[in-house]
Order: sequence, then structure tokens, then C-alpha cells
Amino acid sequence: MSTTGSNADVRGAIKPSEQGVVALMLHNEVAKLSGSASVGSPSLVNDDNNVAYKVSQAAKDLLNSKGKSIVVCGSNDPNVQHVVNATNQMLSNYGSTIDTTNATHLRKGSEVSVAELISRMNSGQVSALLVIDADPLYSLPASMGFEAAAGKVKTKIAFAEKPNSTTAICNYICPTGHYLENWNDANPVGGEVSFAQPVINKIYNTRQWQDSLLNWMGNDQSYYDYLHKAWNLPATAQDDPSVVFASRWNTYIHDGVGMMTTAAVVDDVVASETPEAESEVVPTNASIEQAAAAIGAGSSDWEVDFYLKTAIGAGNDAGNPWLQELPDPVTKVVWDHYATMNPADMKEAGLNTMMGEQQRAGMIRVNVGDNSMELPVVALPGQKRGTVGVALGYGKAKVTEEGVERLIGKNAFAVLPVSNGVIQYSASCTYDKLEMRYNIASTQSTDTMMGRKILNETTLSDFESNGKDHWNPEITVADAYGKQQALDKLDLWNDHAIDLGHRWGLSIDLNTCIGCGACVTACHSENNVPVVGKDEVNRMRTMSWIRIDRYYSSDADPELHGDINQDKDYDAMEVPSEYPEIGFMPVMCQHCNHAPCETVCPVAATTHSDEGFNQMTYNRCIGTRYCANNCPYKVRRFNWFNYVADRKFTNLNPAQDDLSRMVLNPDVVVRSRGVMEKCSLCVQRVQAGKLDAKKAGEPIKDGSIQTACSASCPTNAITFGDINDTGSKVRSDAKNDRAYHLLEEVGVKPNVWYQTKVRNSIETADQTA
Amino acid sequence: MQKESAIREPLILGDKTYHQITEDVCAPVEGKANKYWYIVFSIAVIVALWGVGCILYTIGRGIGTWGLNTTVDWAWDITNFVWWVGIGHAGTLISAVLLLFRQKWRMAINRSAEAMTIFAVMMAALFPGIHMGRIWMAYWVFPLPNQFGSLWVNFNSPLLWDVFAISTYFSVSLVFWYIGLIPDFATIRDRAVKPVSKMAYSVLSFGWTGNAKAWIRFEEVSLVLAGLATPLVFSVHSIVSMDFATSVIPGWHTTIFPPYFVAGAIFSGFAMVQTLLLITRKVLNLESYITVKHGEYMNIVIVITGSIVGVAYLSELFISWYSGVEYEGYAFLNRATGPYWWAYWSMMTCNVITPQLFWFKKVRRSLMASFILSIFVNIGMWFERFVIIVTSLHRDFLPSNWGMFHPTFVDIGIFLGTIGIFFTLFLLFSRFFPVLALNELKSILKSSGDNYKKQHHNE
Repeated sequence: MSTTGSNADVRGAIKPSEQGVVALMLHNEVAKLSGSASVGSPSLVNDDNNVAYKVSQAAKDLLNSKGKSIVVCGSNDPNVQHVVNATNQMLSNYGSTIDTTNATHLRKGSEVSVAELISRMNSGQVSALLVIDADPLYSLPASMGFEAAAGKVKTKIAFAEKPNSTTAICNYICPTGHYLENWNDANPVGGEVSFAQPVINKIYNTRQWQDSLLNWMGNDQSYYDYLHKAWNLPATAQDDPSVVFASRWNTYIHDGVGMMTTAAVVDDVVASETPEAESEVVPTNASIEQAAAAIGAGSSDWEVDFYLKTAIGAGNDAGNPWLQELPDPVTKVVWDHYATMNPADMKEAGLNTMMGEQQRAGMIRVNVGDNSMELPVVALPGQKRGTVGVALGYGKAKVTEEGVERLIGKNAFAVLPVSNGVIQYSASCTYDKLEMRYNIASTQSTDTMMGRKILNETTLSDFESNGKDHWNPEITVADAYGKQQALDKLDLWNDHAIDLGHRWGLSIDLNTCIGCGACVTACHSENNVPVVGKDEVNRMRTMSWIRIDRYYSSDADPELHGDINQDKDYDAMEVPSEYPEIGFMPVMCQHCNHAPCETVCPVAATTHSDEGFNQMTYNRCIGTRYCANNCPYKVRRFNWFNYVADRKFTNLNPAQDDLSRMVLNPDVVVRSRGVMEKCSLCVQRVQAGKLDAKKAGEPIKDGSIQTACSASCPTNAITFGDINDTGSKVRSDAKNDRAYHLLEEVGVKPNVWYQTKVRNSIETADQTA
Repeated sequence: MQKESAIREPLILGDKTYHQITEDVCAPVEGKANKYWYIVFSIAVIVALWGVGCILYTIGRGIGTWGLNTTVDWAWDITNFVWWVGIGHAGTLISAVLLLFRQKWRMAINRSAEAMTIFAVMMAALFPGIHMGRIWMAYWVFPLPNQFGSLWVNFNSPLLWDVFAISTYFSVSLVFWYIGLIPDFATIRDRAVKPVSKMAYSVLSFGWTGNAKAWIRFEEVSLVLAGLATPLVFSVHSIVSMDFATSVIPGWHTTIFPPYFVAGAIFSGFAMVQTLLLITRKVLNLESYITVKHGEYMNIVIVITGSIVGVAYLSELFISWYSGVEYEGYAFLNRATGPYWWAYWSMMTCNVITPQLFWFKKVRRSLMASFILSIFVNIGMWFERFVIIVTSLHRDFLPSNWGMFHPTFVDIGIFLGTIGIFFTLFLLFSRFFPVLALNELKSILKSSGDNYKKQHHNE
């Protein structure tokens, strides 16, 4: 289950081979409703997730938003793409949501060209091979025969930041340094050209590959001069004609981006890539018929789907402990390579579906063609039954002076099948259960909300037709006389003077949070949060100050049946549905105004600041951990070991290595063993922001201070600001009808608000149709 | 002279005289220890050293050597702490409360019960210390004048109340115990022949002369201290229970805790006294003084406090359901039926069900049965604290945090180690200290002694 799938309002589970069938089904539904001709009669082999119905509802919704919709697919098959394009055309999306003039230049790699190169290498036509920042030996399917072909090339030169499998077979290795040490440019989309300048002096004796090539070409200018000259283009319409290039260049470098005319970019740089005309993209009726005919029906065989993980990706930085320790958004597993299966399938096969410290995972052997891989299996509710998911990007070689060792996992790139020169990311497969057990570490072992109001969500129709009381009711608690009272009325404590001065807080929009985990790594980096490794994660000792809770819906959840008073079957509520809905919820210290942690500390090491922070004084902490026990959110993190010196963390903690120690943020102290730590709301950034404002002699502008999590969030789901600033976004968010506090009934009065998630679920689609 | 009813069972059996009592009590101190003492002592010392090793390892490497985690931040450490404190309740109760109530049967058992209290509280006090992440900063929990910008402790914190409660209890118990020992030390001093022991016991006995004035003062001080110690018996465990009761965690946040903890403490304390004395009387030949009747009295206390504890368990369970609070209800249901059901049912069996056998006189008066059941209670009371601490924490408000606790060898080593240290101290006590309050015991010989009772009866 992908990030996209888990965030979809409606998700239909299908087998990879049936993607084309579903594209055709959607095409035909749209065609039927808009009076066009259907093509073929596609149907699914085993539609156990009601996909046909969902597709028909989607077609209605799409037509309702004609010209404002888009249909996309991730298929590599040109036939499927043809059908999707035709659907978009019926929906009049070309020219509105689809822009064929400003093409993106990403994903331009061509497997066909690589295959051609390999065949030329095999026939001895290639005498020298330059490999730049790539590891084809690792990332090409073994069946393409790169290794054998490379043996026939006389001169092989690798430009690489780090040694890898390919550099190991090259004659020459040219260390290029880190990209942050180098100049560069890129043209990801349209006329936008981005510029990269070095942010640090070269640490090692390296030279970027562009400089090397210029030098070998006998060109004595540096790459910087080359770039400078290359982008000395005539001023565009947006540019002020009186500004000379030198100052325009400075702006480019300063902003990191420059707008060129598309033509200039295309002419000068990517002349070979002319934007495709609409007529080429949109197929004719005849070609759709042809494409539809080429799309085969699904089969009932087991299938394997190869996917890229959010953190590990294609494995370029698989050696980075931050990425290994970032939990997978859905499975929450860290530090491991595993196969995923639907828990219902696993139960049938007698595999362990539970995860936890002492619940060892079962193992299977996945057979794809002639290849096979032995992997532990992790349950993934929502995965189409009859499929196995395997991540790419693992098992990369780590080449050191001592030799080659494999990073965690198996290399799934090697087993990818190739058909018609195109690499296929799914295949039919078989699997054998192995009589082995494997320890898997995950950061969350209970998957459901157990019927509690934790991640508050509602449907779009409920949201639109009913008031707040219906979908985000105010929490009341019975007083000593049994009368329901608002929480404010039942307060044991005196309020802090929270209405004076600043009062920092967060608003987290559960609607826009996609669960990716960028905030988690950003927080690790900003706050010097230690990485603790698989064994410690397995002992439930992750140090992350912010975590993302992932909840599956359960069939036994009483709210789903509309009767919350029925007897609860807690055991059943722990079990996620076969095809559940998913919710993500970032949780960090809630900076409670009545913090339970503050009252229990015997030495007053955690206290409330005048500005609404619940602050930790590391120096004063003696480590009784009482605060952590008494935290309803369990966001406090204890330094179980001296992570910066303990032998268990030598290969994990950056502070134990002279080079990686440079990642430590000098503005944040590295905590010692035996003290408690937790989210500080990036107090160092707040302090810096306050000083900046003071120097400028102005009040703090809303949005000028960002926490690491809010700054890194790709969907702006996290908003930081001053709740006492009447114009701040966080204040208006807090007053929003969707706003609520997590565990409000405990009465701790947090400074973090959550915004109710609104899901445009299938019933809504039905009603609006 | 006070007379006692003839049908009341004698507290001192056999044909004893004042001198015979002195002889019987001083025998272990003056004679040589037998083979069994050496065997048991060696085992205790080895276990104790293993525990000390584990403690040093913890201090050297970090609390990470234990099985604790982000969800369960206290487990065996605080379980052991509360268990030992609970055990430490019987001594003072016996010597102070029973003194005020003029219960003569306490005289045979108060000395060793108090010793047990002191050692148990020492073991208990160890845990709040070593469970700290930075034990070298432990002195910060005391409200000492300082130069850190005059930093003060947090008087809102129940942990701080613990510091005061435990330290007060320990010092009062120690003084009480020691005052009682003075006349008996003097007796040993007067009988000692070897110069070293004569010297040692004269220092220990503070120059006790045994004149009437000294005895009057002795009695007065005992009464005053008993008055001081009695509220402590109730306050210490009430305050310990507030560590939990004042928190927000379902399963901890319970107003029933103070009385329930105090009853539980007396329950476990008497069970431990029972365990120790049943062995001591045999090994040190004190069957005439620590009689079946003494055992029966203690068993009565055990069955009553055990029943109070049982009622508390059931009312907790009922209230959690009756409250209608989702988290509260689940916390208790989870105790009984969740992943830690075995701990809950061990607790229920050992604390509520098996002690009910003491309603039968035959069981109550059987030494073997008393011993076995007292072991059950010791186990059950350990599980009670484990259940309260771990099963409340391991599944609290947000299911995403739920998890389990798995002890490491260090957790186990430290727990066993404290038992080793405890027995080392107790065995040393039994060799060098008078295990019975011999001088006090003499005061009841003529009223409750077997032979004198028979004489009175015959008169």
C-alpha cells in the first residue's frame, strides 16, 4: 500500500496485472456516461474490494468535475497509458489540468537505450564507459547482462561520491564529492532552471565530474565559468531589461532558481526533447481499440509488486541511518527489507501477522521466473489478496577498503523481469513458506484506534450537511454531581498566564498530512536526536521527538456500525479490516498548559515557560522517568545509553565519527545519558526568530519562525505560530470548527491543535452523483 | 502482677526460667554457627554479589541495560521498591501498634520483624536510587541549600513525598529498633568472655546499667516512639500509593489506593515475617518462644488484610466499569484478560484465594501450611505491584504506544540480588544480635509462661 493509496479518499485494491483492466473499466464508465463508445468488456478476476462499484462512482465524480479532474496511472505499459489519455480527453482535461507545453524533464531515463548500450558493449563497439553517479551493476536487472558486457569494455571510469558495486569493476574511480560541495544546475520543469552552489568547502580532495570532463577536453575553464557562460542568455520578458546579466546571475544564485523562456532552455539545453504535441499524446479511436485489445485480462496467479520506499527510494542513501530508522509510513517497520502480504493471506499460509518485540516474523521464498529471494513477511492490511510486495533499494553493496558488504536486505532490482526492453515492476510469482523466523522491528504494534476518538474524522457529506456538534463535538465531563460540564469548568489548577506575551503552538491538519515522515527526519537532524538502531527500536526505545501514528480501520469498530453503546469486542477491535481505511497522525509533545509531567518531577526539571512551552532542563534532570510515565501521549524520550559514546551505537550515532559529527546542529545540545528529552517546539529557532525581529525592530511576523517539522512538511500540514498573535494562522486554525485537542478529556490543555480529517468517502460520491 | 486467663494459650512454652530465656536467646550469638548457616549464608552472599554486579553494570552503562522502554518507563525497579517497602511495614506495626494495644504476643517476634523492616526498607530505598538515570545527582531530591541559583525541589511531586516518607520511616524504625536492642546488648556484654566481643557489645549497649531509672526511661521512650511510629505505618504506604494515585494514567489514577496499599503492605509484611520466623525458630531452637499460637495470630492478620485487599481489587474492577470511562474500563479489563492476564490471575490466586484457607483453624495452626501460604502471599504481592505498574502503563491512552515489557538479565539479577543482600543481612543479624527481645520477654514469663500458668491453675 503506497502513500498515495493510503491517503486516497477511496481506494480499490487490485493486482498489478489488472491495472490496464481498471483503466479500461474507468474509460468505459466515463464513455458510457458521456455517450461515447466503450471498448472491450473488461472485468476483474476477483473483485473482493468492490473496485467495479468504486470505479463507477469515480466516473460520476470525474464527469461532475469535467475539465477540473485528472486521471493518472503509474503503468509502464504504453497501452494502458493510451487508455488513460483517452479518458482524460473525454474529461476535457487537456489544456486545463494537463499542460503539454511545460513538460517536466524528470524520469527521462530509457531502458531501451540502456539495453542498446549493453548490446553495443557486448559487440565490442564501446571502448570507454563513463559512469556518473550511477550504479548500474546494482540497479539493472541481472538479466540485462551489464556485468558481462562491462567486462568487454576496455576503459571504465566511474565518477561517484561513494564507492559502490559499479566502481568496484571500473578501472578508474574519480571521487566527485558531495553535491553540496559542488556547482550544478537542473531544469526540472518548463523554463525553471535551478542552480546549486556549494555550501561548504570541499572536505576531501575531490573534483566534480564536470570539472574533470572540461579538463580532459582540454578546456581550461572551470565548471563555474562554464555554467556562468552557458546561462548568459538574453533577458526574458519577465526580466528588467536594464538589469545586466551579472546581477541577474547573482539573483539566480541567491534564489537558487531562474526563470528562462522555455524556448531558450529547450534550444540550449534539451534540444532533443521537443514537447509532444497533443495529437501525439491523445490516441485515436482506432489506437484505443488496439491498446484495449493488447491489455490482457488479469490472472488468478500470485503476483509480486516491486515498489520504492518513501525513505530508502532506489537505495542511493541506504547507508544513511536516518533513512533506515525512519519508519515506513504504512508498515512502520524500520531497518529491514521484507515482503508484504495481506494478513488474511498470511493467516491462510500460517504466517505470523503480529508485530512486536518478541513476535518474530515468518519467512517466505518469493520465486520470480528463475530468480528467488528469501524475505521475512510483514502483514499489510489493504494489500490486494494474492499479491506480494517487495521493496527495491535494499541490498546495496557497501564497498570499503576491506571489501564489499551488503547493506540490509536483498537486491530486488536484480530479479526484475524485462519485457520488450522495458523493465517490469510486477510479475507473476510463487512463494514457499520457510521454516525460519526473523526479528522485525517496528515502531507501532497496535494498528487500530480501539474505538477511541483519537484521529477524529468525518465524511464530506457529514461535514457539509451537519454542524460541528455532529462531527467534532465539544468534550464534556461529568462533575461530582453527574452533570456534564465543559472541561474549563472542572479545573483543579490555576491557569498559567497564557494570554500574555507569546504563546507558541502548533496546528496539525490531519486532512493534509500524508504520513510521509519528512518531519521525523527533519526533527532528527535539527535537534540532534540520536538514531538507535534496530535492536533498540525492537525494545521500543525510538528517540524520535515526533512520530507519525498510523491507524487502520477495524471492522469491529463500534462507530462503524453507528452504535457506540454496543458491547465492545476489544480483541476484534485490535484487528484491522482486510482492506482498511488509513489515517496518519503526527504526535509530538503537546506542550500542555496543565502538563502532567511538570507536576511529578521531583527536581522541577521540566517546567512551563512564559511562552507556552513545556520545557526540559537537561542539566537538572536526574532521570526518574516519572514524567514519561505520566504523559498521556507518551512523547517523552529517555536517554537509555550514552549514545554518543556507547559501543552499541558506534555505527549508528553520527557523534561517534569525526566526519558525521558535522551533521550535529550546534544550536542544540547533545543530551547525555540518563536524562529525559522531548520536542522543544524548536525553541532554538524561536529564540533566533525573536532575536531577528528584535534586531529589525519589528514584531515577529507570523510564519517567520518555523519549526523543523513545519518547515519540512511537503503538504504544509503543520503550522507553527503565536496563538496570542491575533493575525496568526495557527490562531485562526485553533478557532476553526475542525480543531480539537488530542485526548482533550484528560484536561491537560495542550498547545497543539489537530484539524479533523474529512474524507470524501464512497457514500458521499454516491449522494453527489 | 498481671494475671492471664488459664484458657488463653501460653506464649512461652516449656519449663522456662529467666535464666533459661537468657541462655536460649544468647546461644546463637555466643555459640558457633552450624553447617546450614554457612551454606545458606554463602548462597546469600553469592546472590548478593551478583546483584551488586548488576547494579554496578547499570550505573556504568545506563538504564538501557534494563528492559524498560518508552511506554513502560517503570517496571521491576518500582515493583521491587513497593514490594520491599510493603514488606517493611510489618515490623513497625508489630512493635508500635501492637505495643500501644498491649498485645503481649508481639514480644517474641518484634525484634526480628523490626530487623526485617530495616533491611527491607534498605532494599526498597535502593531502587529509587538506582532507577535514576543519573544516580550521581540523587542528592538533588533533598531540599538542600545550593548554589545552582538556589534551585528548590518540586513539592508537588509525589516522588519527593516518597523521599520524605521513606527517610522518616527508616530513621524512626531504626531508632526504635536500636533502643529496644540496648538492654539485650547489655545482657550479652555482661556474659561475654572474649575481649573483642565484650568491647563491641559494650559500645553497642551505650553503657546500659539496668537500674530502675534506666528501665523507666526505656519504657517511656518506647511508648513515645511507638506513638511516633504508628502514624508512619499508615503514612508511608499511603504516600507510596500516591505516586500512582495522583497521576493521570488509567489504572493508577485511583482514590482507593492509600487504604488498599496500606492493607496490602501489612499483608505482605506479615507474610514475610511468617516466612522468616518459621525458619528462624527451627534453626535457632526458639520453638518455645515463637509458638504455633504466634503463627496463628499472624495468620489471622494475614487473612484479614488479605480479604481487605481482595475487596479492594473487586471494587477497583467494579468502579472501572461503573465509571463509564473508556480508558479506565479498558485498563482493568486489560489487566484481567489482556496480554498480562497471567500476572493478574497469579496476583488474584496468591493474594485473594489462597489466604482464605486460613479461615480453617487446622490450616492456620499448621506450620507447613503457614509457610507455604506465606510464600504464596510474597509472590502474589510482588505480582500486585507488577500488575499495577506494568499493565497500566503498557496499554494507556493511545494504542499507537502500546507495547510490552520484557525484563533483561540485569532486571532479574538486581531483584534476586536484593533478596540476597536482605538474607545476608538477616543471617548476620541472627548470628550477632539477640533475635528475641529477651529482657522484654521475661516480663511476660510469669503471666504467659506455660509452667507458671499451670502453677496458677493448680493454685
